[in-house]
Amino acid sequence: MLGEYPFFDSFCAAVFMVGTFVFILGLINNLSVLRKGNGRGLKQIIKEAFGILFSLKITRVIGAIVDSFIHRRLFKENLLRGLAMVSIIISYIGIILVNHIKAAGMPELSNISHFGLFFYAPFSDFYFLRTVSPATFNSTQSLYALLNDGFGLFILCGVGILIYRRFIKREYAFRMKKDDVLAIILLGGWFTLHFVAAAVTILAFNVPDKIAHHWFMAYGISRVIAPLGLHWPDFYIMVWSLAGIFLATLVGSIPFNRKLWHIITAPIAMVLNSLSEERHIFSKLEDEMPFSKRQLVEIDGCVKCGICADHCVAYEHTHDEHSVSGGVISSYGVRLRQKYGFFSSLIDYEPPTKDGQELFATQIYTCTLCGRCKEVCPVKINTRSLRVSMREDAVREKIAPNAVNIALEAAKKEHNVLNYPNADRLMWAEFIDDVPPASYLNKKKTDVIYFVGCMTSFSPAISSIAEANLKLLYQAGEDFALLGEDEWCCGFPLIVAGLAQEWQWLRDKNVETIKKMQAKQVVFNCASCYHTFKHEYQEHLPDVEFLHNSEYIQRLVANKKVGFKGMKGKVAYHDPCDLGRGCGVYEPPRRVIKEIPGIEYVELPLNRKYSTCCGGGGDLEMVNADLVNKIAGTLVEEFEQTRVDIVTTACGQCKRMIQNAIKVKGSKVKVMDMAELMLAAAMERK
Amino acid sequence: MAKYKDVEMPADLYYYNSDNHIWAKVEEGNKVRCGIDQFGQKAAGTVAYVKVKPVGGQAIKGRALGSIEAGKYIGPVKSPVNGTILEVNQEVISNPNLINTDSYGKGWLVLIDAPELQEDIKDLKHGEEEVQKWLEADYKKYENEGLFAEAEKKE
Repeated sequence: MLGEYPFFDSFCAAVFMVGTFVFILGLINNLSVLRKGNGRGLKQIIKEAFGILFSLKITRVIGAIVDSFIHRRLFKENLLRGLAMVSIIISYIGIILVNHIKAAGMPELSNISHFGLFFYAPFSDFYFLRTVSPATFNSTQSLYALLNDGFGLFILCGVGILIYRRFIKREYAFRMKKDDVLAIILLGGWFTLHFVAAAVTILAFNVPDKIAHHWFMAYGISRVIAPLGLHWPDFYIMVWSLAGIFLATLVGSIPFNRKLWHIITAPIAMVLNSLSEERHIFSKLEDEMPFSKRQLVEIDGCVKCGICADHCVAYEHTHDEHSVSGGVISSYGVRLRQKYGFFSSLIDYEPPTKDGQELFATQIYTCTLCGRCKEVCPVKINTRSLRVSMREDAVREKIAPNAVNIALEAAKKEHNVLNYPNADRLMWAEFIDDVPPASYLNKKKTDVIYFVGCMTSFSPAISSIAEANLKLLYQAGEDFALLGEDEWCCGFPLIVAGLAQEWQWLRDKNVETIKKMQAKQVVFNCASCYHTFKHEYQEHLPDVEFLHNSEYIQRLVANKKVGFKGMKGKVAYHDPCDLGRGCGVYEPPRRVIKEIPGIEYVELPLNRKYSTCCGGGGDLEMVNADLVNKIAGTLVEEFEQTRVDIVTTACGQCKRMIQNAIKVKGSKVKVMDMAELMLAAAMERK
Repeated sequence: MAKYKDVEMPADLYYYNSDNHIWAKVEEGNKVRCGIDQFGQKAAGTVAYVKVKPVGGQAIKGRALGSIEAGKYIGPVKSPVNGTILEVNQEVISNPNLINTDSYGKGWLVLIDAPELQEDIKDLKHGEEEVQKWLEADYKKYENEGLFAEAEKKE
């Protein structure tokens, strides 16, 4: 039964109910944004989710769910950060459970329905402490008290760590915003007030020490405030009411505060991303927005923890929090809700100014799409795909940089974004005397097509890669062909520029050419072409095998079609982003390099999925060439610190960037593509 | 001499289109010496790499006779005439920056034997008045669209 002041007794539960109602309204608003996401419908998502769950090992499913609570990546990144997050998440769930179980068994609340009990549960101590007596107090109640205060203490410790890192150590890349302050005040405030209210209740009802000390936090506070000698019965309802208002505000704020909302969305995004990777969905003009439903969950799941900034090659030089993944995702979260939310028409929303829009577009394009942030993101957000969707949005909104239009016009005219006469695609081959053109040109049918790629074909800085590949294939006695002017851009620069649909005609032409030549394999030296073919061409050419030349060379070596005379020097391998993180090809280049006699192979400190981007990806060069050069310069410093003689890479664009930076810095490190290294070390076949 | 702001274009040369900015100097016996004009090098930025077709290679008007890579440009050096490449400036191959520092002198790229020279140069820009008008229009367009790699050099 409730006490003698029914109004005050139910006040906390009532305000909490109001807070919950506001939460539900916010939830509807947020779900209305989610509903507008493109891609699969809700029924299909649920069907697929079950399909995934039943197709995977149960240990993996459990692992994904557990990881959403313990945040392994966060611990790996920063112990304090991991501790703060885990303390808050686990303790929050724990305290909710404890209070509800406790409330369900309390005689004081026995006349409340199960639904109503939900609103009384957080304040169970309010009812319990004023009626508890040594005669009825048992060990279960003692456990509830210890768990309640224990979890509460952990949450306060977590909040304390967040405050320490934010204000004392100043470790965050992102500046504090109103949302962040509010989240900390509400989270910390509710638990602090809860403890103070329990302490006042202990004093107001003279709860015996041997019982009260089980609420060790509240009891401790009661000892501190007791000397004030106030008339405590006058205060306990007031403090509990204040605590109730705090909890109601906290709950009601959750859907409207990005920091708090992520508590719900981040675990969902983490579990989804741990179990399966969503293929990028290219938006269509008729779509309401260019984001998939999962991407919208990811956007809401980002808490701007700043780990992406710690690993971002662009941020290292710009220090612009608005262009790094966490910053740009956060801005989008706000924009999307303002634009597509259920309540957006009710709010006096001022659309961004033209200058603001242009600045935002620049921030969206200030990214190499290297994907390292995806590897370290605690929520496992597919940042690369998300950034491409943002660029698709910029194109739809007509705020994309002018360079995007220039690239598209060039592609329409010359089938490559460099506006290079496509008829001269094989100009680089005119310098080769020792490979007869008949061995690779004008073939009607072939087993292997060597897809050279635009950059390697047209850039005088790296056409030596194409020359080396050609010689290597010829020396190995392979039946191969080059497509010459029939090779069109694979579409990569247009895809990453955000031209969701305006690249597919390039793919269709290349598919038609490859089918006509009845090729069984297509070999690439460009990691970006390879990435595009692997992800966007395979379903159109199901019987064709796409191989990066590092994989192809590995086979040539295994089949003894290439032998080595040997080479000297300390050699390292730099993982290109689109090949490594993008396609998971890490080992073939390493295996081949290690096969060369006389070479001392060394691993770079940041390798495989943590390798440092050269700066040349994601069309960044089209919008900010100076930044690209700075990024490449930093990478060269990494090579110098490792004291290597030669750095081998497996992407023309990487070689270009590194080579330019070496030139600018006057570094003694030499950069070679895989094909060039192989050719230099290979024995000539007679 | 046509001049606008920091770009100079000698009036005795011929110039090949707004996209490419190639200068062509007609020499004795249907020979044409080509290079990138001052406007082109300003748009491209500091040239780091140059590659041109070898001696004996065919030059086809409007098609690439070589490639350059500069600070903000990778692309073809298009031929202003049809013909055969007679000479390649090896000095500029090993020191591409000459294109920036001495566009019309040591920065020349190739010498072409152009049998149908008069026909080929018909649509090229030539003469002080025509070049001046063209230069001004192009300069304003590049400036407005932010296409120059290098800011204006004040004298």
